[in-house]
Amino acid sequence: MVIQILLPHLLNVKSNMKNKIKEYRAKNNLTQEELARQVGVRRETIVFLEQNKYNPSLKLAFDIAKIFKARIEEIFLDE
Amino acid sequence: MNKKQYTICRLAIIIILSFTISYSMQIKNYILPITALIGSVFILFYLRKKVDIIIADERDYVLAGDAARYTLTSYSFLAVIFSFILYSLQDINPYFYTIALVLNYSVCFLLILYSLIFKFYNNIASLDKKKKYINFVIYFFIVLLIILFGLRLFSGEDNWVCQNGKWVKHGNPDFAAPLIECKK
Repeated sequence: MVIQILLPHLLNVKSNMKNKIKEYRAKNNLTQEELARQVGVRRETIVFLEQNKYNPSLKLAFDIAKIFKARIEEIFLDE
Repeated sequence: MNKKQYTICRLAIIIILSFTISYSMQIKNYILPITALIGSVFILFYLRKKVDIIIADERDYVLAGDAARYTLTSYSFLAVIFSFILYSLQDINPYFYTIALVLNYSVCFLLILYSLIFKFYNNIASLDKKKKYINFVIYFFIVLLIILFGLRLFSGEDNWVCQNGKWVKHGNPDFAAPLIECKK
């Protein structure tokens, strides 16, 4: 019982937001490294974002949307 | 400076610092390691500013926050459990009582410090620059007072003092005289 409650919490098991960063990056001809540099994060963070393994902060989400000249809800989908 | 150079520099500083600390312990010089530690922090901070790529971003900070919280929780639990085990074994070795006491106080100190730092960051979010500085000074002095209180608590006021080859009570120590030979 205790393990059932604690384990998902410890392993951070939660649903992540889906996104279309990979598609938009391909459209804009940007590498992960270039996008990371433009929004001020590490390349690994872009990798985790594209794999839907990390929910970005609102600021990072807006920065990414600004780079792709798109609206935030066009890139990030709450499914 | 690129990331590889920074990593090499950081590693070199850590090795030099470890060597300095262990050597200082051998020669019983306690000023040298503190100076070396403070110096290393400043050098690493300076080098970090010189790196042209991002070393840590928001994801690292989120992970660091989680890791710090779980570290604090696990340490508190383990320290309390071990302190009770040590309390129960104090008849075997009287030093166990002192170690248990230190563990308990360290948990209290960590939790108080955590609450203060949490409250500080919670408060300053809505403040302007001037008020942030005032808040920082207030919290800094509160932490300083807690540290001074802690040092006073652990100072040798109630302790055993080595006098003319015998351990003599100073104040009212609540533990037995040290087992090592008194040579003064």
